[in-house]
Amino acid sequence: MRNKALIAILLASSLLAGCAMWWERGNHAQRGMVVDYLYPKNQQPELKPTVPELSLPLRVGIAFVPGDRYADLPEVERDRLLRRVKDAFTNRPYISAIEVIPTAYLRPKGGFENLEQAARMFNVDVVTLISYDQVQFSDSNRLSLLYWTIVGAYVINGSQYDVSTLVDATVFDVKSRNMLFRAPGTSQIKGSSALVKLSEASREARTEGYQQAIDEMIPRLDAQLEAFRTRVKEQKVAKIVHKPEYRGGGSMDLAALGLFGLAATFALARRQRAG
Amino acid sequence: MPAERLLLALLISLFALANLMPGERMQFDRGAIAGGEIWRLWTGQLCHWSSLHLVGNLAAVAALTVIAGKPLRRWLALLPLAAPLLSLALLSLLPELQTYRGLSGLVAVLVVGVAIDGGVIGRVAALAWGAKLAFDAISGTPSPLLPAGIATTWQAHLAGFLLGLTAWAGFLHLDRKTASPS
Repeated sequence: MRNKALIAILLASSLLAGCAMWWERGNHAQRGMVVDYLYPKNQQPELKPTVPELSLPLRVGIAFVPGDRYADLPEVERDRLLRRVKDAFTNRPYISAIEVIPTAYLRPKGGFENLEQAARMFNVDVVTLISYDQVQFSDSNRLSLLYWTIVGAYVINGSQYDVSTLVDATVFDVKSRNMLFRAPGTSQIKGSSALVKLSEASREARTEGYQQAIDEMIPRLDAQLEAFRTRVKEQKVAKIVHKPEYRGGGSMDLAALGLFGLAATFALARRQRAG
Repeated sequence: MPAERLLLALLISLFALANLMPGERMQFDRGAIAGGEIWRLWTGQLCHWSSLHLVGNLAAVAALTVIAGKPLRRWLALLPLAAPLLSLALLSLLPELQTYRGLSGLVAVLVVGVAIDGGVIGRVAALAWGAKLAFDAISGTPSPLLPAGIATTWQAHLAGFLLGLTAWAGFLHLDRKTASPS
């Protein structure tokens, strides 16, 4: 009798523990902060009052800050998000090129030395670093009681999630290491799903969170860019120099003209011989 | 063919416009094109930096016309369509190129025409020109017909040559369609 009771207690406790493992609860965070990347090991920023010199048209690099667990957002998705930002800023006469820098080229806590290496590699003057901080809270609501029926775990939306995302674009002049301007974007996504779909639904919500935050950030970045241009004109916060313009000409040279002239002479002579 | 005549008339009109109007308003200008001045996609390929530059390119067209004769007309008629494509190629492939003028990108389209329709002499001339293009790409030799400060854009010649090859494929397809009994 005592053995039966013991077995019943053991079974019940293991079932409860199994269910507790089954429930996905708690937080999920991923972040890549620009300060951690540029000033690792609590380095203090050097405070040198310098005026950055910007050579127009600018070549701009754009990258996600390498950070903790950034593998949660695949490189393909990161590249897609960066291209959205890139597309929003092409066709500006003062920007000659925008290069997307893959995260693989940046080292976590790499500092300005790493940023300079990447900038040299991609031949850019200015880099826009996109830092991010995303937190997901998952919890169960009252409907989750129906998970005990097993079928409920498939059909009842008893799990809810809440994804908060902050992205922040910070534009740096690589040579002077000065921050030129910044713009944030935020998003909050709430949803619920059945237990077995929670992982997939929350992953989609995290990706959607980045997209929404980037979409909110783009017009703000645009406004900050215009504000920066005004500050450059009025407050001289940066010195603008113009790169020697690349002017091209489509022209024949004497060798090509000689070649075509000779060929034309032969063709004429041949036609005359043929009558 | 009426379409061919129409395109030739369009080419002559565009060429006259591009070379009679102020070059600054006609040239390929990256910023101005981005600002909506899309006519530059056509006129940029037809206007010139100087009279010498214009005469040099026109002399090349004249020589190619002599080599290939009448069959070159369909290639000439193609140029109003090739001009914007060539400008778009320069926009995307040469982001550092700010301004551009010159007909020679389109002359490269005609070089393919001469290779196809100009007999043995045309093929030899096109082959030699191709070798010279490779030499220009490696050596970066500037053209003496261009004013100081203007770089020879050999990439426009290469893009024109590739456009010419594409046009050749199109002509082959059209010729086959016309020849086959329906």
